[in-house]
Amino acid sequence: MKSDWIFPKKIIWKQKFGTLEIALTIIGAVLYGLGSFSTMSLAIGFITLRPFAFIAVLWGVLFGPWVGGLAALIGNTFISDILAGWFGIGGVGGALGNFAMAFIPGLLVSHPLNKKAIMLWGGIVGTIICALFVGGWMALMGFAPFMTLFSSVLICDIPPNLILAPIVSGWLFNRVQKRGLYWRDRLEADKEEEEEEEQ
Amino acid sequence: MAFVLQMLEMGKRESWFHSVNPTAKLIWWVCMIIVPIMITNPFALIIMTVCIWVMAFQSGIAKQMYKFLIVTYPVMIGFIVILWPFFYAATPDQHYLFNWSFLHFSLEGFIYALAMGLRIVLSLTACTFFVMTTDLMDLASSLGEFMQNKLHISYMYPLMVMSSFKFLPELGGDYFNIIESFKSRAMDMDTGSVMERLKKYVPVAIPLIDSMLRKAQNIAISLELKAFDTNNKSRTFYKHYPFTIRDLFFIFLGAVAIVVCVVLNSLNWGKVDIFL
Amino acid sequence: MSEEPIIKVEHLYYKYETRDQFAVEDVNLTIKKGEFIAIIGQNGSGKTTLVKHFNGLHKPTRGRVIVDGHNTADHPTSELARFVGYVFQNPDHQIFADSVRDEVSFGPKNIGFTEEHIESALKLVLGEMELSGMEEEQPFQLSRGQRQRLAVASILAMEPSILVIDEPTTGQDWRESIALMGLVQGLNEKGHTCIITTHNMNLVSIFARRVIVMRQAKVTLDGPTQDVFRNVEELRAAWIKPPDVYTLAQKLLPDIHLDKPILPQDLADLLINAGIVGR
Repeated sequence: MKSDWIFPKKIIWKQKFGTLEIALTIIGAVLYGLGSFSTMSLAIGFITLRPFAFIAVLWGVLFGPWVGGLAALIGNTFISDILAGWFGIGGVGGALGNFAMAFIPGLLVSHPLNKKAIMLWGGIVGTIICALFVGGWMALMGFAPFMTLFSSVLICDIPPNLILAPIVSGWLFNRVQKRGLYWRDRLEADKEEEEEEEQ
Repeated sequence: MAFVLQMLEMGKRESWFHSVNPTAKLIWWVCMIIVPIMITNPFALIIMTVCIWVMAFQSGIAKQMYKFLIVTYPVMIGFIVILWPFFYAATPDQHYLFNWSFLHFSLEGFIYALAMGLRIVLSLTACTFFVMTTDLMDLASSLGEFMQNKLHISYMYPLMVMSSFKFLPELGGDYFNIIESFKSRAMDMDTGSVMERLKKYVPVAIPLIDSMLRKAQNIAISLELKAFDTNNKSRTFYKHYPFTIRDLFFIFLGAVAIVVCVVLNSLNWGKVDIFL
Repeated sequence: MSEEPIIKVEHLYYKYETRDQFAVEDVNLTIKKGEFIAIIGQNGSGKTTLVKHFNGLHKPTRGRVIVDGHNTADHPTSELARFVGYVFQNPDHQIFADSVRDEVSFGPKNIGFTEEHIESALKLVLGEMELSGMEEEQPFQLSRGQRQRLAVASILAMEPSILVIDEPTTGQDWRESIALMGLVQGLNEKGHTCIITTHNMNLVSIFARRVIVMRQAKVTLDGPTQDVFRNVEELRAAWIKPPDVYTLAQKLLPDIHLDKPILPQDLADLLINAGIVGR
């Protein structure tokens, strides 16, 4: 059921976490990490223009906040950062920031076809929070002035998140739902199973 | 990508440093992250960086490390050294190269920036050394054992990190295949404005994600076929990673670096400010 | 087939960044317009690496590749795609659109064909690949064989004169394989130069007119299908088992000269004519 609410009516914190969720996290992490790493030729210092940044938002919206968040965290911190050699630097800020970038839209976007909500929660709010974490951490550690990183995260991540995330989400949702991978459906199915067992 | 895989391969070589317990190396590395946060004295930073390079020579990875860092060093240092002076607080007694409203560039600012750059250099060198001397699979399983048995955290989390690395070459192959197949259809990925270029990623993303989802379903099935359970906290481990004198010595090296920092700081030699 | 060379490979060397050995080593080839070539060899022998040079996906480490007068080192793949169509092994790696029409017209749009041009190309290639009337179907709902043909169609729509197909029959049953190869043969008869890489020797013996054998990054055999398949020694070294027809022919009629590839029926006729077996 599609809803056009930009603000969610009900927030679901819980998410089923079985083997499928693990697999989706792994795949999301690889995709996100590879995407960030392979587009590094467009590097602007610490942060890179990342066409595949939208994977975080997409994963959050389609597969749930926890799967999305963990995928973005692992992909950014353990794949992209380690391979690029600046794990120690971006470290905690990057991990939390990227987690938030997927977690927030996962939590607050009511439906993957709701483009406005994805743009708001993923493209703007999530990305700004990610930028706050990254910029804040780097400034706290004294590696770089807050504004430089804050603004470069915004410049690099807002365009893909704002434009690509809603488009790709719209294209993929049907296929994801048909395969039974959409996280809200899986939650529902689980509830029904539990109820049946109780009866 | 090719380079990445090569880097991961480096961790499987044999040397004194490669054979140190991965968890011990992790602790050493955490120390090396703390060091540049504690001190900014350029000479101390340079000496520590040189020490890591000596270790790299000893373990036979210096050539690859050089090949990797020769690209990364300039980007990072360039970024830092160019940016910091503009943000360095302006005071009247500095030697200005130019000073125009909020934009200012002074000699002091430049020295400060250089010190910041050297911190990054130390961080980068330590990280690269760590990745190139550690088999990440070993790291994940030694950490996984520690986390499950001592901290009661499900093996699920190390498994996810470890599997991401394991699938990297295979999924990476698919990833580049898909990009190549679009290039073969006269798709030009490298020109156009940012907007145009972003839009070109939509058709690439669809088969990419779609084939990845199919893989995810296969991975889930194979996990279940091997009786993996997210809530199982009593699984056993095939390989054990006990601590030896060598590992303790390696942690000791990291601790020494921290102690040096504390001493430098207490003598007031720790910060770059003494040169300004 | 004309005598005009369309692909010239001169002392080609290629090395992947990660590896110390060459993936393709000192390869020299001349491919003429209208040929139907199969490149065979073990996994890792360098087949795919070699054909990826034809449309510039790989640039030579040393040596050069000239395609239709263009040095591939100087042109990006997006430009070379006009002359060389490259069909990847897995059709699912390229299908993205919601309809067959969008999928097929993607390449021509990238090149800048006009709308009428695209429409006529679409009609033609869908007809050739036996997908007529499926313009509005969802590609993901087609069968594996249909998706494979769709992948070929979407490359053909760019009207390349050379068609490279990497492992066209992987994951398909015999009937689908024969059908697809039949369609490729049809294209070849219309003047396309066709190059395939494959592990299926029976298909090679039925369709290819020239065979190139690769072993350990080098071309070790290159010639008409019937000659290559009778060179048992070299094939054994390359771990290739020729179709049984050729093994039999070699054993029973070692001195006979073959002027075209043979099928079991041909061998039977030859044996009868030579008086080795009676009817």
